[in-house]
Amino acid sequence: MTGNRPLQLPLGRERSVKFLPWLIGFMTFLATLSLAAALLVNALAERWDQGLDGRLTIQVPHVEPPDSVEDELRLDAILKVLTDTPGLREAEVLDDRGMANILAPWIDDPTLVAELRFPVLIAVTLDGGELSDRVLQDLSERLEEVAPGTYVDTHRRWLVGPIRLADSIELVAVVVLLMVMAAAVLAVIFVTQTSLTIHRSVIELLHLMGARDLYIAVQFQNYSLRAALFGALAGLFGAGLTITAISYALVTADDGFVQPFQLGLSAWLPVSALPLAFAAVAALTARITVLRHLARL
Amino acid sequence: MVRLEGVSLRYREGPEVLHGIDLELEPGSFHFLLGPSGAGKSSLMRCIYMANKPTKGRVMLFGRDVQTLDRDEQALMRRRIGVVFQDFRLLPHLNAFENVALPLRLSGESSRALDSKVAELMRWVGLADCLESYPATLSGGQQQRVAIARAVIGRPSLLIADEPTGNVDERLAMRLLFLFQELNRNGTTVFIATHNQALVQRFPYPFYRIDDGVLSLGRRTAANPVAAGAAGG
Repeated sequence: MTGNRPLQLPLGRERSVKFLPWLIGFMTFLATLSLAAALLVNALAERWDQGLDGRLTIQVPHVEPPDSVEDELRLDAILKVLTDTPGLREAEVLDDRGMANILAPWIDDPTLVAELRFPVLIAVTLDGGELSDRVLQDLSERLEEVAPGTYVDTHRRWLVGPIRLADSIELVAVVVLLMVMAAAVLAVIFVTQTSLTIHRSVIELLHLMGARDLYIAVQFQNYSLRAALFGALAGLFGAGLTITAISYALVTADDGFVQPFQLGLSAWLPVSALPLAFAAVAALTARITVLRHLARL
Repeated sequence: MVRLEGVSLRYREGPEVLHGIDLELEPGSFHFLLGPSGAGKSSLMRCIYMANKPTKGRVMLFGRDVQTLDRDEQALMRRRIGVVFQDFRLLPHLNAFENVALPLRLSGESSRALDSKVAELMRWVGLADCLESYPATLSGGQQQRVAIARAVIGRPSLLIADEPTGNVDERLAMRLLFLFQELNRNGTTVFIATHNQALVQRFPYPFYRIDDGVLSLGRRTAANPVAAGAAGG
């Protein structure tokens, strides 16, 4: 007789309230895509960052007027400075062929590369991580002493623009996520207030029989929790399919730029937590809305 | 148990429907409230079971001024009051069992205790076969008995019934009043509003009469067993 006890308030039967799971579903879909975008862009920026981490390039200009012996002496001095600098594992001077390979996209004639007298490039591999600003400053000064005009390139300046763009995209995605969440809160408030109006007489009856405000609020809270969880799981499922389809399309395109667009397991975890977040927000919103409404009676 | 001091009531901007009512119901007493339709019986009842706040005056229940209670205290106090509404106010989406069980659920009664209590009371009001029936499938009289069962299931200290016999035949009306009488013998204070003078005549309890929102203590005379007394009370 007491199994499967029905709610004392017939919540969810009204037409105006039935759309709540759908609404939460669409919002979860959008929020999931936003969060996935933020996580992808973040991963992409980290990948760029890590790709250049642990490397330096040193540009050594040729002496003027041209003097190959002096160039060799300067290069030896530079390599000695690099050898004496702690934290550097390897320094490789790019020969004419290496330079020609690097410049091949722009200059396809190797002899022209030699004639143009580009600065000598030394690719330096660090022992690990980055050099501190102080060590870099010290290295630059010592190189400047032995070979004026030598430039130490940490590649950071190339990353400033892309990372700033990635940060902006990430910020926009997070703002969209928060706005979707705020819209969900407003929707739950509206639905709850409508429901409170519709069930006014039942609520009055429950009050007259001794129901506390919290007892009534918990009924709304539990209904919102279930409705939001159901809708959010459906929304997550739809978003998951969409992300998988996009990833698949990009991977099959195989243009060398697609690898970063695959959502990893660590990214799926926060994405999968979204339905729980939506359900919790909906439940809490309904509870607070009802308690505030009843307190005004 | 119940004391009203100079209670007046008006709904929103409407006319005053209760005028300076003084009333006292002693613990364990049984009173009727007689009056024609529109005289203010239901409004007076609503003030007692805290559905309406009086525009003027004071309502004291169980020794406390209800105006001074916070919402949780009001809820606890309402659990000590059983109310039979004139329009039954059964929840249409709950079956008869769940409707009757509602006050016990609100009090946090265990399911096992609740099952036996509800079944026993439903047998008593002659609806043992209707436990699973929904209000829409019950007759007016059956709905009224479910409403009465709901009002008394929690063994309230105060029972307020607004026209509890309005939709039942004479025989069942008597049976229900015997139920109220039994509750009263067990200590429940009973206050019944009715327009049925014949019913009041059959029971030896004191009665109040209300006309146009003015309450007076009734007195029984040989010529007229339910005549109005002098204004006051």
